[in-house]
Amino acid sequence: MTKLAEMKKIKRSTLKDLKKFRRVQVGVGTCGIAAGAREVYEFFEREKDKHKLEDCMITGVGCMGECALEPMVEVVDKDGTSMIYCNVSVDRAQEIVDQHLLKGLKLEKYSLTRQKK
Amino acid sequence: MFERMQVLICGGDSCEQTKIGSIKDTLVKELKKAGLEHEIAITQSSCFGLCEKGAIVGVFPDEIYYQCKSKEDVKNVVDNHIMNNEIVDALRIKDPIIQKQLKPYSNFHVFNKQTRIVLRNCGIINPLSIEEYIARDGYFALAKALKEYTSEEVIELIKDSGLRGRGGGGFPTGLKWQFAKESEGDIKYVICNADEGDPGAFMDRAVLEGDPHSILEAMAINGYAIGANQGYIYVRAEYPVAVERLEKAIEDARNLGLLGDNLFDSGFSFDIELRLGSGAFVCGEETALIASIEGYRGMPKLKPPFPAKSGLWGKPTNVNNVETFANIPVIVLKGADWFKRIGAEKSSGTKVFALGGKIKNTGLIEIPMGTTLREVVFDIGGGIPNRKKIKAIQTGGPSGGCIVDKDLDAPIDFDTLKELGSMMGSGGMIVMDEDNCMVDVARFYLEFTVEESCGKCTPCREGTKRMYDILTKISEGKGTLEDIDNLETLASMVSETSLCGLGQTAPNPVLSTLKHFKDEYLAHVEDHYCPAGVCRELTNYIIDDSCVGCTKCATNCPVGAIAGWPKAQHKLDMDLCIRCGACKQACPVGSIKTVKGGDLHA
Repeated sequence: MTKLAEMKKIKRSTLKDLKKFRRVQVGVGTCGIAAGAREVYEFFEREKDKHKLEDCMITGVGCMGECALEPMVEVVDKDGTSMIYCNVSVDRAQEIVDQHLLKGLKLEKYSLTRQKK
Repeated sequence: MFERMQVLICGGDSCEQTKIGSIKDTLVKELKKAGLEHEIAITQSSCFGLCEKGAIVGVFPDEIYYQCKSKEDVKNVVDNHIMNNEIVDALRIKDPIIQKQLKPYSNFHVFNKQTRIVLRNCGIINPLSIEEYIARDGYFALAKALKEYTSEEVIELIKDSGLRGRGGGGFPTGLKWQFAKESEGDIKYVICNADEGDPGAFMDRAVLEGDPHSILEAMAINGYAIGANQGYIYVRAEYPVAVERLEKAIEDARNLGLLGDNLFDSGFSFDIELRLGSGAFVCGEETALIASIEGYRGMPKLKPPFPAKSGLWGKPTNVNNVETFANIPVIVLKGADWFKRIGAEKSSGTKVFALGGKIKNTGLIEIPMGTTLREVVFDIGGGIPNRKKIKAIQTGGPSGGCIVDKDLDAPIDFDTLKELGSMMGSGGMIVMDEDNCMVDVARFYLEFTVEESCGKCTPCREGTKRMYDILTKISEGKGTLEDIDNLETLASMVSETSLCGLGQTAPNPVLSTLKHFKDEYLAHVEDHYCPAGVCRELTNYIIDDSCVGCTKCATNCPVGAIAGWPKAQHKLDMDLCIRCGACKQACPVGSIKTVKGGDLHA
């Protein structure tokens, strides 16, 4: 198989796989880590195991650009809608797990659009 | 959103009823046929209110609206714009009135007014996963360059795109590549300058941490274009997260055969290694950077010869900044014309800024060139907190200058900023309000350059130190009018006679504050008064009769210099006062004012 065909296959399968998951994206740039993103990330991993949230993919991503609101967590649901949560401490992360991930209720009060106003 | 494009369609009834049937179904069908169903998101908005125009289809992030009258038109948009990034001019809505009507729908994009090219993957993909980078069209640009273009064509493409160096200088990137290609030599090098040193700037760090593969891909394309087989990334050791992710990225790329020998069976080989810098500011200057990679002390050399002729170990070398590189894969994939459409005439593309200082939304932003400073500060940055007035914007870090509020409507591009006496710089943008003392600002940057001057040439080593001494003298209230004259003379002398960019631009903060805020300097010298109340020795406080007697100031004063009964005007004893400013911060009604020495007993 040529390299290009191989890459197209990777692209296809990655995009397809992504659709199977709800993605919990934790901003783990230096800025996020300094604000405590690593603890939040580890917390989500533990909660995923605890509640057997097999359809959730916890992943680290780079800087989202809103330094004052770090740590930031974006939850992308399977239908493609996303919610960006700001200033996510472990306590807030607990709420996100309980409400959003377990019950499917979005927490408007911590959202980026709300915080920026 | 992981999808590279979003298609916005009208969710109203009327469009659904146009004879072409459901646009959504047609779109889904066409996208599936093109094999793009996972790459494009379809979003239904509320009714556009343009029902008589038929089906309106918006393509984002390009922000282009089409008017489709048949299924063929929809297919046309998918085949040309969505697949090949070629705008279908015939179907495009050009009527300015309708465009204006559609404008509010463009706001559904979260990062309003921003255009993300350099930061396209930051905050979206997992930087540790090469698969996710590939899923976002990663390494396809390298494949395209190697398979479809000759090295000359790649250079021509970059030249044509009008991309200019994002490290600060703004030199045309394509031209730089051409010089390196034309230089004779069997061994050539590509260097990525990731020695980001401006105080308050962290754009490159964000790219390296959030999207490391884009740099590797761009460097390989650069290597192919100039005939180099080895690249180095010179990154600061103070960026441990970036270093870790780059190392992982290089390893993954090697394992997948995207770095190494015979890439894409083209016969071209390329590999990348990291070199860690120890955080000397001067190593951001390319010849000093090269010396540092070679193992010598990081000191600049006289140019010419330029690195393109004789760079790393005397071989032709091309040095580009992180942000410059991050643009390359997109230009190769989408073409020079697409890139030129974004930005201003002589400065195409976008620029990432680290927005900081007295502004509500601090952070990292990417805007098309040509956006005005006012839009950046007020629309994206959210304005100045605490209802203060904006005084100036500092761009370009220690090499740049201040832009004052009357120039806020100037577009941001390389040439305009230069005309205004500042510069683009690497992308630090610090907003200052009326509480910032401009003498103190100049002193801060000078302190930085004094520490970071490598000491090789006298004007920079001695000149910056003397300028710093004069500024300190002025801020302590001991300055004379002659000092200001000396400062001016010295500044132009240092800038004209220094060896490298660091010294040549070090006086800029002084020159530009002197130009725009001479009255502040004069207030320090003649009235022994710091209008902003920053310079301690020159600040006198007074509590005026708007005092409500809340006693907050007295409680906060660490030396007990404030006396007064509750609900009565308080009094401040300047002989005891240590000018810490705690009372001014504590006062809820703004009764504590800074005054000139003579007004104290007024």
